[in-house]
Amino acid sequence: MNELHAIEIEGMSRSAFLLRGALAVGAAYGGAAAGPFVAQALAQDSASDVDVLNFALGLENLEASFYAAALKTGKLSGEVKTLATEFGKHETTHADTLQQLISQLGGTASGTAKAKVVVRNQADFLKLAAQLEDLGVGAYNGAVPAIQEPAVLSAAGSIVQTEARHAAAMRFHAGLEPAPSAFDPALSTAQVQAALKKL
Amino acid sequence: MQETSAIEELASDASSRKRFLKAVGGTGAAGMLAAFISACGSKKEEATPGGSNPNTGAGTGTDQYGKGDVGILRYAITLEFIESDFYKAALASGNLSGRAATIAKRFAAEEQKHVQALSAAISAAGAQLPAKVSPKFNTGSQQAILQQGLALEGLGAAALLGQVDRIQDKKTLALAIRMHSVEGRHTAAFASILGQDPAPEGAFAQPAFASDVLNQLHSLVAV
Repeated sequence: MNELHAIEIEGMSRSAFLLRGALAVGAAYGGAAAGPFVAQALAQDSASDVDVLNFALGLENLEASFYAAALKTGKLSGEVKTLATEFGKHETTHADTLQQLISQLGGTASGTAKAKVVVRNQADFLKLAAQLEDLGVGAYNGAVPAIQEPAVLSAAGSIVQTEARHAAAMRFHAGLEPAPSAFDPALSTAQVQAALKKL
Repeated sequence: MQETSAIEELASDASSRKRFLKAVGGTGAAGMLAAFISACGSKKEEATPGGSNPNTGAGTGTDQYGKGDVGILRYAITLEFIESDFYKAALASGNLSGRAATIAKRFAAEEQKHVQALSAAISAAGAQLPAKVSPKFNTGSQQAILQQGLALEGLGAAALLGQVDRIQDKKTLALAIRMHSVEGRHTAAFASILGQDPAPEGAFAQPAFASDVLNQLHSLVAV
């Protein structure tokens, strides 16, 4: 169990439910394990591009609120503070773009899930940031094959590379391996179901 | 030979290339939205030569490696071969120490796994591996190695991103997107060691055309 279990997501939308699931899997098996979970969940649902984008929007809102909360504590300094400021802006830009893409596809942005995130100090921040960004990378990687529209694929691909860069930088500053594996870890259906039961 | 075909492709694909670059060219949210709108408005246009994506034109240049997904896989393994050889040369140079050495060892193993996965996918499609090229790396100092790693990995990440919207097979797409994010991690790691911005392109990482990637490889490692 890692720090991701401390994040609470409120809301009853499908996107909020998926995000809670991804966090539960991420807490149990590591952030990147959200990939196979999201892939399975979206396939099971025959998710549309709007569904995928709404899930991504929930994730970006969570990340944006995490960086905002962390900066607000005043506990970040130096290079880490610079990165948190920069990455927070990226997440907000991602969220804005996803919202526009959803409207452009004729969809409605689902009620944004509210997230509770606690950051006590810089060391805590780096650990949680690394896990949350790993989760973001895994989630997008898992969601990408479900996307139909080529322009949405390009956008999601561009975003996931940015999340991967964030994850590597946060891991680097946390003293972890920036790229821990060649691929996301595999996750069995049984492991996915077990993680979901805990919700 | 590569340069000739790159020029031909750029010439034949000028309009979609211009539209694509304008759409995603570093203007953040507005740019991505423009890309999306432009794509919606151009669906009925004829596919650009080389089997590239008719919406963005981002795929041009891989047909010299084969049609469709097979061409993309053979293009991707060409890049992975170079990256893999780069780490072998970097580690053999004896010029790496500390965290740079640790990271290079791990990345070497990861690129090797990418080569294996791509190789298996190419064989499964009934195609042959492309001939290996002989790149020339600058491994004279740790600084030179880190800078070359940053450039090569950044190019690899941009190259894969340039293909994601034209891959047809979902399993191939899943493989490509996961490898692509690892290349992004490698790039950010080198930037972090060098004290540079790990995400200098901002919120949206930029894709690269195959023709541009091949030209840049030529100037980087003389292939």
